[in-house]
Amino acid sequence: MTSQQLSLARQEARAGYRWVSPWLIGFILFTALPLLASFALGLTRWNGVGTPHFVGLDNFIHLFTADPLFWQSLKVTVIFAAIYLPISLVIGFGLALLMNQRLPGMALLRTIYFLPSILTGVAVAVVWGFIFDKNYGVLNWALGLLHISPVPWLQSSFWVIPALVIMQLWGVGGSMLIYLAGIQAVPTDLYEAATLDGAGWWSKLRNVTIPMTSPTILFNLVLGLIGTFQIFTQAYIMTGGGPNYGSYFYALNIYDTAFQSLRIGYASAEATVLFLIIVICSAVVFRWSRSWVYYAGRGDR
Amino acid sequence: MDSLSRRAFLGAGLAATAGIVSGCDGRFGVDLTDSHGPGTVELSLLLNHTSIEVTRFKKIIAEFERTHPHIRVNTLNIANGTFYTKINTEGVAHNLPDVWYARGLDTTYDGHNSWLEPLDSYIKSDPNSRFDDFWPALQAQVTYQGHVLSLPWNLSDLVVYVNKTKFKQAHVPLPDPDWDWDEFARVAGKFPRVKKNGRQTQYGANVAMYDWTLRGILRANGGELVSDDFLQTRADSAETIDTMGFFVDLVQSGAMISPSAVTAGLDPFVTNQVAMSVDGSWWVAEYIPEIKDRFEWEIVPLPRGKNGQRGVSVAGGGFGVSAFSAHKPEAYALAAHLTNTASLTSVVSNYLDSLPARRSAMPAFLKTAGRLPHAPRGIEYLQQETAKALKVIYPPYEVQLGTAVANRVSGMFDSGSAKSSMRALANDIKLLIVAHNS
Repeated sequence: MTSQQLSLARQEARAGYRWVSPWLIGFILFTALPLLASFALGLTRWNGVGTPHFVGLDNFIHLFTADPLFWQSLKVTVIFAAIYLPISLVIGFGLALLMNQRLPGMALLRTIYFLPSILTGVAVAVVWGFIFDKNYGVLNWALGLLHISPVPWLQSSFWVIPALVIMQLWGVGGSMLIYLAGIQAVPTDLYEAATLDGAGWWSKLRNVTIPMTSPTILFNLVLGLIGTFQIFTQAYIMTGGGPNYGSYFYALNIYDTAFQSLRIGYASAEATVLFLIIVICSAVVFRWSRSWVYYAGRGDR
Repeated sequence: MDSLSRRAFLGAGLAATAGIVSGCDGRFGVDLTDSHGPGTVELSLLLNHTSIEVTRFKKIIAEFERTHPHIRVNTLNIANGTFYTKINTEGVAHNLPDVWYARGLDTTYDGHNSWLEPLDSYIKSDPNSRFDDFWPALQAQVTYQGHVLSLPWNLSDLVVYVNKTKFKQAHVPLPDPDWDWDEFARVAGKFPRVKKNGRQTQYGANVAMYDWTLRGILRANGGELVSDDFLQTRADSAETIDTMGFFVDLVQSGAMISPSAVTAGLDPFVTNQVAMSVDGSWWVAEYIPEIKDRFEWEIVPLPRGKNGQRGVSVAGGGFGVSAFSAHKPEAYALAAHLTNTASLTSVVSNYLDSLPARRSAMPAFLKTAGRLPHAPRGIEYLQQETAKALKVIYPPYEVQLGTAVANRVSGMFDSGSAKSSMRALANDIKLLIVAHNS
């Protein structure tokens, strides 16, 4: 590379940095610094006022050895993620396939399916409170038509997580839209070639659609994983974490510790652990994705 | 030109960022110090009320400003639970509003954090304070370590709402006001109705189980959640387990709707699901316009417990002065104005919004109730029982206790075991005590 080329490359890089600087400043001020502050505060005992008292790893030791609510909230969150994530991936993808049909009124249907994902969490939680009502809820009314006894959706430690999964699935329209964009980006000549080779619907789905949209699936999986570990509003509004801490999600635990107990240092330690869990899970997913995500530009799997 | 545009763009971005950051200084309300000239004192007032109540508040605040021309009141209302997050975050930042609505449930917590200014000296030197006019239970509830921390505004206690129409239809005599919990169970057992598909359409009773309402009921039956010094739990005592087991039996027999099965917005009394409802007196103002003439209803006192007492605990709110306020005398004057008899009559009694904190404002409450076309009978019990209410003081970990009680009580009705749930609750409370004292 000549010195003139180098100079041009530097100028281009500088211009690039200047253009991203508003975002970069925002990221540093509102994400990176609070993140680092949270890590540091996790090593202190602090109620939010005065000087934080450095306690080393005491908060983390207490978390893992003497805090039953830490384990309970972690268990609830992991169970929820394990049930919700696979179902939401399949339903989101399935809906996208349906919404990809060329039928009259499809734009309206897409809008209707997408609408729930733009409604605010509190309003949705209140509405679902009515739906899940044991005696007057529409869900139990429908089950009653099938001669199924009323289910105590939000009153039972066993049913509360399935109930919240159902509620969360209602907002699957957001991921559906992303899948739809991925599906529509699959080159049509691949389907034509598959048709010429005698492939049926299932074969085309398995050998063309899924491999070609696998980066989109990965994207939704990672975002879903992160979002699921941070679930808060539903439990905060509808169940208060109950019954018996059966819906006491990790984020709700952090909120209670920080803003009800004013144990900011301890809550920061909890947040640090959550951050590490999400990082590790995301890293595992990315590593695993090498075996099933296909990037057309690279030509490999 | 291109380069200049980028610079201008970046400059504007930086300026906007700087503006946002400088705006995030966390100060309460709007500073209007210069807008009213020198000598004007600006007070910030934080309310936790409905928009309708705020409209009523505005009238008495305007009256205060008329009689105190050197004081301006900047009011902020946060109607929902975010209010408490704001109090907590501003409390730790020593940036609380001059005057705020302080719940009696939080007096110990606020006092423990030194957020509220002791008002004893102000009360002593104020000839109009008449502190002994407040209900005795409220006087105790706003006092922390011998110091008065807020002036009471309102309160709610526990009563039993009775659907007279259901009683008539079932040919069940109305409860005798001198009844006990065994009688309550016997009456409730006459009302359950279950459809063939298993759906229960009617229950005998609903019992609202907040941690503060439970405190009174448990005490009347020899039980308790925490000791008076807040250092020990009695949630796993035989008396507490027996009392909670009584309610589990009622739910399992279908005589009582499980408290956790009550959906927000679907009050079981208003929706005609229950014949009786043990709940807070604040519902009176809601029930009258909601029920209208759909069915007849009235109020009876809480049943007596095993010790012969009704065990009515109250929860109220008042107006406290921030310990960090730069204008404490003026802030006290505002709090005193908001809680005088005329203000309480104007905002609380005339609308039946909960019960007024002063006994002198109670006649207006009863008069208002008497004027309403669909007002229930038995409203005088509110006055009678409030006068005898328990002097319950709530611990500094009251909010966390509320979370633990809600979780374990709902779990208890799910599992059907009062013993295991109360033992779990006792463990939760022990952890709260340790965390609070560490």
